[in-house]
Amino acid sequence: MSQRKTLLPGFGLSLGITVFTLSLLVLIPLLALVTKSAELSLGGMWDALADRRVLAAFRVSFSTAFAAAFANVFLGLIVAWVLVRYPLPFKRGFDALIDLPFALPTAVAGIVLTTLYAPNGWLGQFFTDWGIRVAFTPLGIIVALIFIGLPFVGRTVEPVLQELDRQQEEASTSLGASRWQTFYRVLLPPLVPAILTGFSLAFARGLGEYGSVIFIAGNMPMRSEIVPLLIVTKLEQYDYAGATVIALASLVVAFIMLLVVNGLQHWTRKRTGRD
Amino acid sequence: MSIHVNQLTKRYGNFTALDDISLSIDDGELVALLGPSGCGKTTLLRSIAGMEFADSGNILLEGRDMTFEPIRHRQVGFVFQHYALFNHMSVFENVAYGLRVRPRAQRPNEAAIRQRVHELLELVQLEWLAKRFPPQLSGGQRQRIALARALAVEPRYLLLDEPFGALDANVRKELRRWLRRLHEELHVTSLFVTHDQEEAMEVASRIVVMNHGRIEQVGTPADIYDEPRTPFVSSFIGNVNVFQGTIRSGAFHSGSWRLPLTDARDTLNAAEQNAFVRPHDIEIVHPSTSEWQARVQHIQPMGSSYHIEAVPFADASGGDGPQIESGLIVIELTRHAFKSLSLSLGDRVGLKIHHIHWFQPRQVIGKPSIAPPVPA
Repeated sequence: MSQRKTLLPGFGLSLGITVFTLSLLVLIPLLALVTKSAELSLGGMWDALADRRVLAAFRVSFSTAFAAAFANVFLGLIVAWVLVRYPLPFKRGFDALIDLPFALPTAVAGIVLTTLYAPNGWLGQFFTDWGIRVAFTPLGIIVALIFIGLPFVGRTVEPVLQELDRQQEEASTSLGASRWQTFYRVLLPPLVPAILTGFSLAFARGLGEYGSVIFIAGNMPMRSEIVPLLIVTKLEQYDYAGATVIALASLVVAFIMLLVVNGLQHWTRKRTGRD
Repeated sequence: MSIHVNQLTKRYGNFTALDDISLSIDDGELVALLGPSGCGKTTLLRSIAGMEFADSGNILLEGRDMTFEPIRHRQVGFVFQHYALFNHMSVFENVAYGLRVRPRAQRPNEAAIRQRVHELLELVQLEWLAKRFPPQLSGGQRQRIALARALAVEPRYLLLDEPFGALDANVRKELRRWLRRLHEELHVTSLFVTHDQEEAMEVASRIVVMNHGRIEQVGTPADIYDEPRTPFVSSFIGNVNVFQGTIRSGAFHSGSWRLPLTDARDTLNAAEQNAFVRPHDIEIVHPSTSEWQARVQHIQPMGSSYHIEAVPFADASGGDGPQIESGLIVIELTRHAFKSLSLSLGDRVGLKIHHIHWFQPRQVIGKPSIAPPVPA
């Protein structure tokens, strides 16, 4: 094989490190997951998954993660917009605040949110007046996941928003467009790929989130029990194979959904001539 | 579609961007706003467009006061220096944009939009690019698309902010000519901003020279070049040598140099005067026939002409030569004149001056007399 000259040195070394790290941290654990669950026969796997309690947990996990990621698209967009476009006092402070959910131990977040949103909590009492229960219901899970997922959308949208050419907006208004038309025809389309990325990150994180959710969820089987908790429960019952099957199924579904989002992203790029 | 600007003033903190600007532009004119960067020309253009709002004064479009009207009601087409095309839309959709965002009642149907866009793309000679996206085009193509997009809404005024500023020299030249032809075809009142005096001279029927937020002079390219009204205009439009001195007893004295004045007008003001002399208004003659003598220090071929830089000699009486801001005299010779003189470095030459603009010294702005206009 002939030596090819490239401008960047260290291709071999960096590829080696990449493959090594990926194997050690991602591929080998995943493989272990697959082999462990292979201890069960196909029928056994099916039985483990078709259980009503397991299916309900899947439903709760995916619907809440989706709802929270969806809400975060709007919230994250608004937060990024405000931080990029308006001159605010203490802007840097606000900016740092966004990342707080990353840094805070999730259990702490969970306990704080539970205390606030419990039926007799500071915020929960107002919801109780309206007849809405937040803590110990799927709604509580969504609240926790919104808190956890907000930085993903905010942080991915912010740099793209910063780089948008403001003169495009002026051009749009000079051509007679209203503010709303300028927003959805000129501003929004370049942000869509970043929004999709933020959405999929928030969604993936929401599926796997454990610490903040278990406190506020109430963990009632069939109603507010999430998949990660179910896995832990199985582990505590020494049902290792059952736990890994659920984990594997959760992983496969999440992977497919992320793939769909990526495909969507690719499609929007292609449609707008960026590829 | 006339534009009247009355006593427009705009300040940003301590900085005065527009200082009591009044300007009238007639229907169908093609006018250049010319000046160095920071002179307020872009602020003036953006105020007329409705993207900036002045602190005082007003703007009349076709006699109607539009000072505080937002841009979408002014029916202006605006072209940006950096194109500002919508990168996520095809060229076709970019041009169609202004038609698509119209209120439903005024919006043409799909077939009419298609036809109009194709007409415009034909006008800018880029029909074959309809399906491409802006990032795939060259700068010149992008600017032509931006122009087509602005024209799609049939604007009453076309405002261009340094439209060729981001382009290569060759493309710029081509587009200038093209813009002038387009204007002859469409006759839409047009106003463009530039810092390039050559561009202003070549494209505009009238030039507004601005400096420090004020209008220095308004006139045709010939007026501005031949009869500059201020020292700034004289040195900004084309190159100029500035000789500092006084006029007394029928002659101009600069340092130890003396120039007898024959023109009655030139001798009128017996006072301190600066003589502004264009490089091509100086003739190189045999040293024996002129009191003004210099040594050739540098010869710069410029293509169609030659620029000669000469160091003035003190005269026979041992004085210290003329007072020139730069210490050098720049002479522009036609190719033909240069060849017939067969000059070489170090030659002693005589200078004969054919035309002078006189300005009071206190008007002189501290700017090297022979420096070319500073690009933004």
